[in-house]
Amino acid sequence: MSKITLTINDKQVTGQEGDTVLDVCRNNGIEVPTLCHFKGLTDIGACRLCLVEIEKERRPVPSCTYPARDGLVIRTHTEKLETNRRQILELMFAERNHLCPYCVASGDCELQSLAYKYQMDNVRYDLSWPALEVDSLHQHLVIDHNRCILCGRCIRACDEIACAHTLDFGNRGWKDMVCADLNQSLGQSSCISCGACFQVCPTGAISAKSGTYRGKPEEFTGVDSACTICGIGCSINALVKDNKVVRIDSPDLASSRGLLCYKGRFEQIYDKKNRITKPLMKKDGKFEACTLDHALDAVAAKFGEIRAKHGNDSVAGLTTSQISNESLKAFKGLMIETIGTTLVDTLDGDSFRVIHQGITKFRNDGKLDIEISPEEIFKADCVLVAGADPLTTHPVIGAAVLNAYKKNKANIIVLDAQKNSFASRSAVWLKPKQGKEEAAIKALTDSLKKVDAGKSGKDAGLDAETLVDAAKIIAGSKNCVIIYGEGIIKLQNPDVIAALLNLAAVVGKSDKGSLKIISLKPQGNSRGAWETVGLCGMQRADMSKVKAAYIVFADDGMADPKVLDAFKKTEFLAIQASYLSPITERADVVLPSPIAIEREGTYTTLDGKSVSVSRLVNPPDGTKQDHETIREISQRFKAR
Amino acid sequence: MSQVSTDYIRAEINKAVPADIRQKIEKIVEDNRGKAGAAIRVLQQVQGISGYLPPSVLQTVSGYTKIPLSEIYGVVSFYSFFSLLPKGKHVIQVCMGTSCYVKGGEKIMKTLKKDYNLESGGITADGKFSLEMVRCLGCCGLSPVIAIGTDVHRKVKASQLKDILSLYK
Repeated sequence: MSKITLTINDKQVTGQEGDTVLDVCRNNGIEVPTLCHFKGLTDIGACRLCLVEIEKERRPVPSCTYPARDGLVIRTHTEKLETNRRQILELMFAERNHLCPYCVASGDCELQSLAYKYQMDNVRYDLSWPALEVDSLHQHLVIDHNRCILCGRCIRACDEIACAHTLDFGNRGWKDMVCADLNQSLGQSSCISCGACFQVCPTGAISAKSGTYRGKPEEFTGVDSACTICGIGCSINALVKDNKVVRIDSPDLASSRGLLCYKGRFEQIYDKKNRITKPLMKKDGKFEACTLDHALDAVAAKFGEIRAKHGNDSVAGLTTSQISNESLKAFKGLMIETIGTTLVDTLDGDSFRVIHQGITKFRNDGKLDIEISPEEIFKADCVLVAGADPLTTHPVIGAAVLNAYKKNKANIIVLDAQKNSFASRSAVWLKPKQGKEEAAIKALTDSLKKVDAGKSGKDAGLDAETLVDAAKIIAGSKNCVIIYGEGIIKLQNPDVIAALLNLAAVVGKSDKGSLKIISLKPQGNSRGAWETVGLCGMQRADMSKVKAAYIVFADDGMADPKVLDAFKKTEFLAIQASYLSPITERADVVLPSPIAIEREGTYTTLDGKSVSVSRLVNPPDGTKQDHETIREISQRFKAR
Repeated sequence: MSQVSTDYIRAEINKAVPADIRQKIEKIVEDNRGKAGAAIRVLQQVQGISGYLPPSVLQTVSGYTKIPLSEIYGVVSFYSFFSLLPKGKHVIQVCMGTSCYVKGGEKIMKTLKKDYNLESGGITADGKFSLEMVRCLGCCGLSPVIAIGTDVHRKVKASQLKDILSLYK
C-alpha cells in the first residue's frame, strides 16, 4: 500500500491509501470524537461528531467515511466544529433520558465522557422525556431504549460480527427504535445471545444483568485468558473487582475469532450457592467438614488398603473433561502410574470411543488430527451440518456458520432427523428416518460419486430429488465443510462416523491434507482429556467389580448422576467436585475443586491447539487447583 | 404504520400459515428473485393476498427471501401503506392536511370515534370499517375530504357521516 501525505491542522502527516480521514487522524494522535464509529464495524457517519473541515469541500464532512487522499488539507478542531459538536451532544441529551446518576453505565459511558469533555453544564433545548420501554425479558441482557442514542453500533455488530441480524432500526422517523425482529422482546426473538451488542453499546442502553452497578472501570483489573466452556478456546478479557468477575469481553470483537457466546460471556460468571469450600468426610451417613490433610491422608490410605487386598484393578478413576491438561496428567499419574490400575475413563468417554473407532475404521490410526480448524468455516461456501445444533452446543461455531451463510452466501445443508436452528436457513434439509443416518450419509456420498443412490436413499427415507439437490450443491461448492455433533455421536455407531469421513474424503481435502470435517466434542477440554486419559482405557471399563473409585467432577454441569450406577458395590468413593449435588451425596470423601473461572493451566481446543488459561478470580480459601490436590494424593500414596 | 403491541406480535408470529398462502408467497418471492430492491414489491404483493401483513406471514416471507425479520420490520414500519393489523372491509381515510384540518377534518375524526368507536389505525368490532388518518389526498379545493376505499367524498360534514357510511354494506 502506498503512503499518502495530508495536512491536518497545519501539520504534515502521513497515512496509508485506503485509510479514512479518521484513521489518519487517530494514527497521528489527533483525537476526533466519535460515537457511532467502532473499530471493525462499517462506518455510517450517523452521529456527526467526527465532522471535519476539508479544503474545497463546501461543508464539513464526516471523517469516518471520508477516504483519505494525498494532498488533503484538513482542520479538525475549528471553533465552528467544536460548537457544532457541543450542540450535537446537547441534542442527544435532550432527545431521551440521559440522567447519568440513575444509569448503569455512569462512569463507563462514551456519551457521558464526551459531555464532560465538552463541559456541557447545561442543555439549551427542552428535554423531550419520552417514556420508552425497558426490555428485561432476555436472560442476560437488558435494553433500555431511554438511554439509546441510535448510533446503530449494536445493529451493525449483530449483522456484521454475529451475523444474526436480529436487531435493526424500526419505526423510522421521530419514533425510531432499535428493534429485535418484529419489534419483539429480545428474549423472545431470534437473538443468539452472543452479547456483541452489549460490548459495543457506547451508553447504558444495552447492559448485562450481571455486573451492573459494580463500580467504575478504573476499579477493575483486566485479566486476559481463554474460555474453557466448549473447546473452541475463544480469547476473553475479564474485568475483575474484589475477586468477582464483573464482565467478560472479547479482546478483539471484530476479528474473525472475536465473537463470544452466552456461555462464555455470561453464564460462567455466576457461582451457584451450594459451593463446596471445605473437604467433607462421611461419618455415620452424614458429611462432616475436616482439614484437607486429614481428607487426603484418608483417601491415600483407603486406596492403599483396598489395592493391597484386591489388586490394582480394584481401584478405578473417572474424570470430567472440563479440567486442564495439567490436572488430567496428574490424574493419569495417580491412577495409572502410582496406583497401577487400568480402569480409567473420562465422563465423555463414550463420545471419544465412538469417534476414535470411526476414524480407525476410516484409516487405521484413529488420530484426531484428521479434522480441520473451525477457522475454515469462515471460508466455506457450503456447510453440511449433520446431527448437530452448534448454535446451542457450540454457539461460536454456529455463528461462524451464519457468517459463511451471510458473507460467502454459503448454502447450509442440514442432515438431521430433528429440527435444528439452521433448518429454516438451510438450502436442503435431509431428514433421514430415526436411526438411518448412516444410510443417508452413504446415499449422499453415492450421489456425489454419481453412483445410483436410490436404494440407500430409500432405506434412509430420503427422496431422490432432495438427494440430487444436496449433491448438486456440494459438487458445485469450492470449500465445503462438514460439522457433526451430539446427534451423530449419541448413536454410538462408529460406522456412521466412518461414513461421514468417507463423505468428507469425497468432498475434498484442505491444503494441508486434512479432511474438511469438524466434530463438536462435548466438553471444554475433551480433546485434551481424550489424548491424555481416553487412550489409556480403550474399552468401556467394567466398573462393577471395583472396590474403590476416584472421581473428578469439578463443576461439570453435564455429568449425569447415572454414571454412578456403575459404582453401586463400591466400598469407597472419593469425589472431587465444586458443588454439592446428588452425585456428591454418594461419596465417602468430598474434596473441593475450583470452578471454570478459577482454574488455570493449558487446554487443548477441539482442533488440537493448546491455549493457556489464567484464573480470573482466586478459588475460595483452602480450595487448591485440581492438579495440586491430585498430586498430593499421589505423594501421600507413595509415602505410605 | 401505526404502532402495534408486542403482545399481538407474540401471539401472532408462530401461527401456522395456510399452505395455499405459503404457495402464493413463494410464487411472489420467486417472481421477484434477483430484482434489485424487491423487498418492498414483495411485501406489497403479499399484502394484496389478505389485505394486511400478519406477523406469521412476514416470518414466511423472511424465510423465502432470506431477508432478516428485523429488516423487514424496518420497511413495514416505515411505510404507512403496510399494516400488521387486519384492515376493515372498507378503509376510511380521513384527510388531515392543512386545508382539510382547518375545514373540519378533526371534527370528522372525533365523530367517528364517538359514533363508531374508530380511532386512527383501528377497526370496527364487525370488521366492516377501519380508519386511517392521512396527510393529503391531493384535492384541497374540495376539503374536508374523506376517502372510503377508492371513492372520494368531498366537503364532508360530520353530520353527513352516517349517510355516507350507510352506502357501504
